[in-house]
Amino acid sequence: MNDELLAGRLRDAGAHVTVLEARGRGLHLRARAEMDSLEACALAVREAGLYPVFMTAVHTASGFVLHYRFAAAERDCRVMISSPAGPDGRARSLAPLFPGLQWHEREAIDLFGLLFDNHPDPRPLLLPEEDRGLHPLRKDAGSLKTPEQLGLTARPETGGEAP
Amino acid sequence: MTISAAESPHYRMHLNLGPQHPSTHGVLHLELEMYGEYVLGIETVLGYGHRMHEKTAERRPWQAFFANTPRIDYACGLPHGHCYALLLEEALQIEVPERALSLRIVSSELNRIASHLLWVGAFLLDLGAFTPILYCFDDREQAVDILEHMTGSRLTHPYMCAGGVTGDIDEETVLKIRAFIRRMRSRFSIYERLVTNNVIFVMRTRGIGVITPELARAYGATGPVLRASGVACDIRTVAPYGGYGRYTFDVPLGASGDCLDRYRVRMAEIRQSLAIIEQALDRLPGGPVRAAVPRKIAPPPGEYSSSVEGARGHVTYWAVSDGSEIPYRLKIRSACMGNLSLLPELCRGMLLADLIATLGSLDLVIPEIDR
Repeated sequence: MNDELLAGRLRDAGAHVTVLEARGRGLHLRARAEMDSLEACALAVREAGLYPVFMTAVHTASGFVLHYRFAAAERDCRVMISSPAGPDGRARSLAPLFPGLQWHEREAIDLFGLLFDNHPDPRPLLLPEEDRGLHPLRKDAGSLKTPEQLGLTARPETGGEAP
Repeated sequence: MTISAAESPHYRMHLNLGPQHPSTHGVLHLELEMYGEYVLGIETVLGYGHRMHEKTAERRPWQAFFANTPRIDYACGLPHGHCYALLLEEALQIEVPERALSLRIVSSELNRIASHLLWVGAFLLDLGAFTPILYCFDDREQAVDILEHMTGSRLTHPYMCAGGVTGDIDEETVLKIRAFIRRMRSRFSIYERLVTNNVIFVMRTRGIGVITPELARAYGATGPVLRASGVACDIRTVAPYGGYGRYTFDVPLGASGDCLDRYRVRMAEIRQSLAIIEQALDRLPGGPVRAAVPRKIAPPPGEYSSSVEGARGHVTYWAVSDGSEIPYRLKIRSACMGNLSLLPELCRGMLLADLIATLGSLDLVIPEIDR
């Protein structure tokens, strides 16, 4: 499956996809989806034969934004799918589709206090027992920025919008 | 009436491997569910080496995080610094001088060789062979000496910086590196006789811990672990960065994905790294080794990412900037997490001795997972 076809699949799944210039970034497809369509996007990525690179979150003034990164093994293709988490950090897990994301999501449970509905093993991964509830990567209310201030919303100037 | 050993409830046991165990290469704790000598299931306990590098990054200026990069994967730290430098250079649109590009590649490849030699020695030690590590450390010492001379440090090399590298090399160092290449090439036949053709080694590793390409893909395993399964995934050739596109080298591949293939791939990679270093020295350009970079840097708001091939696989840095002098968020993707996460699925039904061989063959640096 080539990049254009994958971009089409991601759009069919309900994501807003921006095709970025390859130069420097190494990031080719930037998809933004709602939580409802995240699993459909991940299925399209899995069909394209990509492997999971990482999963993480960003704490913004309008809540947590999840980021899933995938890459192709034998060609230059990298995909980032982001999705805002629900209130209180509720999210759907992609670990049932990509077992490799299980530990990354457990790390996000530790560090951000996200709550995954269908995670197969939602225990903390890195922090010790006594640090449950510490969530070190959450930011103070005073230092929170909105996704617009962080440039995390779709910006047409970052790359050509594919037809 | 007596019950046989196999029916006895004591035949099933819970076994702790680590956190302080020589075969876990760092503080990794494995809780094994055993049936006699066979592994039924495995539970990995991580976090002993957790230092919260990502939070540290959010508290200091962008440049200051270079001090952390070699400490994440301490056995092969330069690619981590390289990755972070690429990220900042993309964010600030900095052109890196040609000589700096070459020096980055020379130092990264020397670091990769040192890392692979450390792994070969430690892996053979896991399998009960004591002698090879003496040869490996003898060779590794030469590479580390050169890196010490280049970077000022023997382990956590503070060499990469935004816009280039922190120090130049002189003609004497070039001669030392060339001597190391010659010496290293003459050593492969020793390793071949001592290890590769050793019948006990081959019996302990052939057909053990077979990782299929599908399993590796599902878990995001990369680097020599993936290449041993026959998948040509090397970021240096798939998405060349920092000038790697101008070098000719092979990507060694395995066929069956067992422990023996992972050993063969890493040994072949040492040869390829030597070839890359030689090419870099043959056409080492003159000029500065660092571009002019402002003391205080503040990338415009947005997300930035870069990926490199570390000694253990795919390393990615992903940063979000709010336009200020400190990062808003920095995510570090370590290769070892993907490589270790497949172990619970891989090891079911394995003999304990084979688990040790498989664990060793993954080339884990546990603090890289914990970060």
